[in-house]
Amino acid sequence: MPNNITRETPLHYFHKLSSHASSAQSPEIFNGQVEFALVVKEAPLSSFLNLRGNGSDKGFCSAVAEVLGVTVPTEPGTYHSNKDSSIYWLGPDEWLLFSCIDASNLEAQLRKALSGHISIVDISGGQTLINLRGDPCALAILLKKSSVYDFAAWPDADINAGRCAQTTFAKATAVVTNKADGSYDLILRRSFADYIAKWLLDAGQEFGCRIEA
Amino acid sequence: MLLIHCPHCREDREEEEYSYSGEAHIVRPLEPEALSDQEWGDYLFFRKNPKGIHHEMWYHAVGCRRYFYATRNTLSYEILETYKVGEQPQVSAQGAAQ
Amino acid sequence: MAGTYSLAACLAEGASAGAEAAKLAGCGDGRIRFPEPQVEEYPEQPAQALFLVPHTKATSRAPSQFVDMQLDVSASGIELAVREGFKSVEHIKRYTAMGFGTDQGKLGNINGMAILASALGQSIEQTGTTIFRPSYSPTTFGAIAGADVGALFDPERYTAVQRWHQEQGAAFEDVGQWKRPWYFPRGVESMQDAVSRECLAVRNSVGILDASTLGKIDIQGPDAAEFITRMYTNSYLKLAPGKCRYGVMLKEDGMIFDDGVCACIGDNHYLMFTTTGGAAGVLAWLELWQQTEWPDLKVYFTSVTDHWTTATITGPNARKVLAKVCADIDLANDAFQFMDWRDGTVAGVAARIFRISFTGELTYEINVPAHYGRHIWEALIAAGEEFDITPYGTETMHVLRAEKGFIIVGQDTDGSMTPADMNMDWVVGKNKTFSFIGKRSLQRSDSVRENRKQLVGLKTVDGTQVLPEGAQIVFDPEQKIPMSMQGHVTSSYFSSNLGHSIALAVVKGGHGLLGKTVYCPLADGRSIAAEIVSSVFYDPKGERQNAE
Repeated sequence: MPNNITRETPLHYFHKLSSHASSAQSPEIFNGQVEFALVVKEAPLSSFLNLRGNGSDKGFCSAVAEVLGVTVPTEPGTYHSNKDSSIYWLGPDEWLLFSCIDASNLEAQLRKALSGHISIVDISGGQTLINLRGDPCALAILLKKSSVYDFAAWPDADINAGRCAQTTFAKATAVVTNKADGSYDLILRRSFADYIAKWLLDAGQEFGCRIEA
Repeated sequence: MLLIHCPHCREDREEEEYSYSGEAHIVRPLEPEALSDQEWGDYLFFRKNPKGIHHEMWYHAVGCRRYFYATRNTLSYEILETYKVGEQPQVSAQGAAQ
Repeated sequence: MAGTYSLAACLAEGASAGAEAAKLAGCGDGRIRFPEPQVEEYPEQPAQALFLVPHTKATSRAPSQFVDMQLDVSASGIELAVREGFKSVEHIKRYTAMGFGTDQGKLGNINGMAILASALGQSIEQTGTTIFRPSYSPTTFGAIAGADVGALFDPERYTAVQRWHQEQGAAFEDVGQWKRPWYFPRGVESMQDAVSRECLAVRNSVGILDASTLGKIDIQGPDAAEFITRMYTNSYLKLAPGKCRYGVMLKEDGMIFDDGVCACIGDNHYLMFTTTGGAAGVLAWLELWQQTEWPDLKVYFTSVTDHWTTATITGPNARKVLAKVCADIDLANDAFQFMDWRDGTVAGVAARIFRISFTGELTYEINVPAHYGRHIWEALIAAGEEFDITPYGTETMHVLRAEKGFIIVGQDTDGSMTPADMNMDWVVGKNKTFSFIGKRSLQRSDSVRENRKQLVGLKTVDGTQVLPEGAQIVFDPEQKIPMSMQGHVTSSYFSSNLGHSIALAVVKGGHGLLGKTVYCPLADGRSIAAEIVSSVFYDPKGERQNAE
């Protein structure tokens, strides 16, 4: 692929806007704060695949695990991960795969390994993952402002497993997951990413909230 | 707001994650062309709309994207049970009357 | 009511107050030194409410007595609601809009409910009140001063090309939550000037549209074709990979619900396009039938709307533009035909190209994963420069499709239109074995009755006059009011390509009325005459989209 091809994450322009604002200490975005208790960081472009299939079929689960090195979470509202990939439970026969493996490569491997009634859809262009980290108390309040879901009820995540929920987020939706380091990942649809970023900066303003490029 | 138990997510979730989808257990006629206009009209337009126990469909639109059934008391709004497609309700108007 | 009312009591009270004041001023001892005035006493009764000022004429004939000042609800309106059979105060509220304003009835509802009670012949207590909502019941400032303002009032959804559109100075239109370029004014151009220029550019050379907001649903599974065929009016059982087909979806009542192209991607794999506004509803609709009615059909649906950026290049020079940035697809007319799609590489990016058309011109809809969206867009703009490629917005899109008589679901249809009403019988498969959703309803007596509102074209007698959308249509402009309304205008534009205005309308029995002159009486008293014509104004044989 020629290297003059530019790729833009959903928050590409938001990063530019907020780093500019950060250097100027724009009161519109940061309310003049210099201390930031909360940090929002968008992951680099990665692969997202939507996977459908029969989770009670042992062959299906072991084939996916074989390709990704991650077991398929069959318990509702949970995810499993390793350093390269994560599998999030979205529904009784639906999972979201997040990986640094190239999407078409990953899809080809999965199609080769799986058989029967399955669906694999590359949705990499339409998603983004952002990490929310910072003061635990501020994080908890930010999430309470943003969603009807009670994230405080979740047990702490392990290094390779945790909870996830697809739910409302501000006036949009997100998949929210907890991580072992106490931070949260949000997976958003591309078209809503700008709105959610604006929301997070506004909702986190009282604690100081910035976007990290 | 109601808290509704999603039988797939196995959690109580807020009503705003769901959308209501009307009366449950209405089976589409297998041979629509064999029906009179009146019979087809009954299937199409007429609903029980009871005062009391009602079996209805809900869609977990912002969650697992699965449809499921709920038994709800339309007077009190109390949701007595939720169950998956293919399952039968444990609570019914007849049962509640007894 | 507080205070003193009778004349005698008023006089006595005044005298007493005067004497008391005099005493305080140092004169007298506070006693009244003149005789009490003798005045006639009238019997006094408690104050009475006057909810409706009586008139010699009936309320409906008397001068209007406004009850709800904000929403112009009058006493006669409330009485009319009762005559229409409404009894509950909550229903009356909704029928008349009484108390729906921002004051929530604080100004007028007491009078209104009393008038209602009188009309119902019952007491105010029996009639009851509506629910008091803010700001009738007090509201805290916190509730008003929340975060629901500005950019956070409602999500704005952006395509990957949003910033380019902004940089070009596009005017935007809200389509659902999406921001879509409406038109791209150059310099001091008016909207009509910009739209006319964009329309001419597409028909004469090439234009480019950001169509990314169209709903897209990926469908996979061994029963995918069967399932899709049950949902659309036409059949997809024999659609081969590489081919597309236009389909219309009905609700079970037989009325048009959504439309779009569906492409066969591979064995048991399809991509369905929906309208921009219909995307979430169509996905929920597919899931509903699969999950609750036909769980035995093996098929999965996944929304891919956000994944793809869709750059539509359209016009006689579209192929020349595409050829400059795409080397690995044979673009020859025979090799890549109208209603085909191909995988290929565009400006170095793996792309999926659909040769479908909403303008009637030679068109390629180029889809790439959205993180390449701006790259592909700018590559096409650069490749099209020598053809003066013209970015256009939704308004030009609407005009061009109206010139072709292509409907927009939700604009030319309103949930009460069958395919036959839209002159689209050709899209209904006659030999489908399965009774697709809505099919049986097309035989209902109401669906086959004559005199249904049917889609036609309208050409104003004075071609410079553009009919207002929504205008009512009558056959006799001299008829006494209330006139017999025969239909209404659904889409209306000035067509710079044709040099006159065009409109789409639905008219009772319209398909049999070609050539008839109809009239649109306007609120200002004018009446615009128009001739009923074919709904296809431009290239009626549809040759341009198949262009070599």
